[in-house]
Amino acid sequence: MASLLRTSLNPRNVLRLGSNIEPQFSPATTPWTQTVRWRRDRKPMWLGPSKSKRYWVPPRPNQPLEEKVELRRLFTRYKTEVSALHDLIKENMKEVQEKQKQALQFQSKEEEEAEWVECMAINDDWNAESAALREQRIARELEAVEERALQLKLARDEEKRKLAAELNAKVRAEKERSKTYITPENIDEAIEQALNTVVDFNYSIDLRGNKYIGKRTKPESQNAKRISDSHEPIKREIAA
Amino acid sequence: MVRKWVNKLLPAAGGGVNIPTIQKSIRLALKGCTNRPFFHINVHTKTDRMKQQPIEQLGSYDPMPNMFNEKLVSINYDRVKHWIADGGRTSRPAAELFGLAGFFPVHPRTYMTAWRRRKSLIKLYEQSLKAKETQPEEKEEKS
Repeated sequence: MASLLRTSLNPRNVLRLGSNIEPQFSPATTPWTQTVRWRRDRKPMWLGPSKSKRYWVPPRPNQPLEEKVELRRLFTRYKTEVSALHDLIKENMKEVQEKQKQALQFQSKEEEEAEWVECMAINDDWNAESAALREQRIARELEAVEERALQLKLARDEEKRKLAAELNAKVRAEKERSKTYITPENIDEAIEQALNTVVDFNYSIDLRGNKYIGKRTKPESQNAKRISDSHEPIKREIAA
Repeated sequence: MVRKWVNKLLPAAGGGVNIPTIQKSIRLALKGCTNRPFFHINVHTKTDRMKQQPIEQLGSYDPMPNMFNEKLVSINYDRVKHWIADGGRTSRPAAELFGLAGFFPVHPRTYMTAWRRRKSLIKLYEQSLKAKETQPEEKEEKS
């Protein structure tokens, strides 16, 4: 455990990130330092082999002579075969490439021109077909546009007519009302009439439900009017 | 540092730069993860590292036997031929695979591993025979 700690605290095993400060503190506590396994080195060269391994000779690979001879034989054969195979593949690929080139080339200039003329004829046919289709489509679209414009115009006319009717009705009603307007000519008459006809909206009610119209009218006066004439529940109460 | 190639996300199936003057090599590139190896058969420029983007992927090799005890290999022979004609060299493991597939002659190392394994098996068998011979004698001694 102690050795593990030592290795993990060894500054050589610490990756410094974004900082030039030597990691003199514990790498766990200092910011910008991180312990990584892949950065860990082996023992330095100058320490040499350890004491226990000083006189130890590692066992040499012991390949029997038969195997060596056999492998040499196999390898020489294999190498010649493979090199021959590589040459064969190269030649084959050359042939394939030539064939591809030939397939791409036209046989003569006349044939090429003839094909060109043929292609152009086919192209013209296609163009004519598409032009006919296009004209039809444009005509259809134009018709639709005209129809829509007509519909819009009709709708707008209808709206205008409605508005005019409304305005006419308003004007007529206003004319009717203008007969009772107070104008500079009849203002004196109107004032006189207003002064002459005093209207008193005040009234009082007694316990029996009699209504006395006027602010200062007294119960004895003939102006008193029974509210119960027009009010059923109060009438019933009085009867009880 | 080797690490700088690890974090780059590049298409593994190819798209690396092909410089015509540099020699190509057809080799295996280790993919997969911990305890699950998987190889791509790739074309690299000769100086490329394993994690660098290959020029083209030519196949794959799954070294772990599946439920039918098969190790699956796929190779695009047309492209292999193309790259060999282009002057590409096959690495030893790739050549061994091609040999087992019948595209190349069988690699000598395949023979070597076979006879070594055969030898070790014979040795084990002999040891087991010896053990059987010695067991009854011990029983007799005990009784």
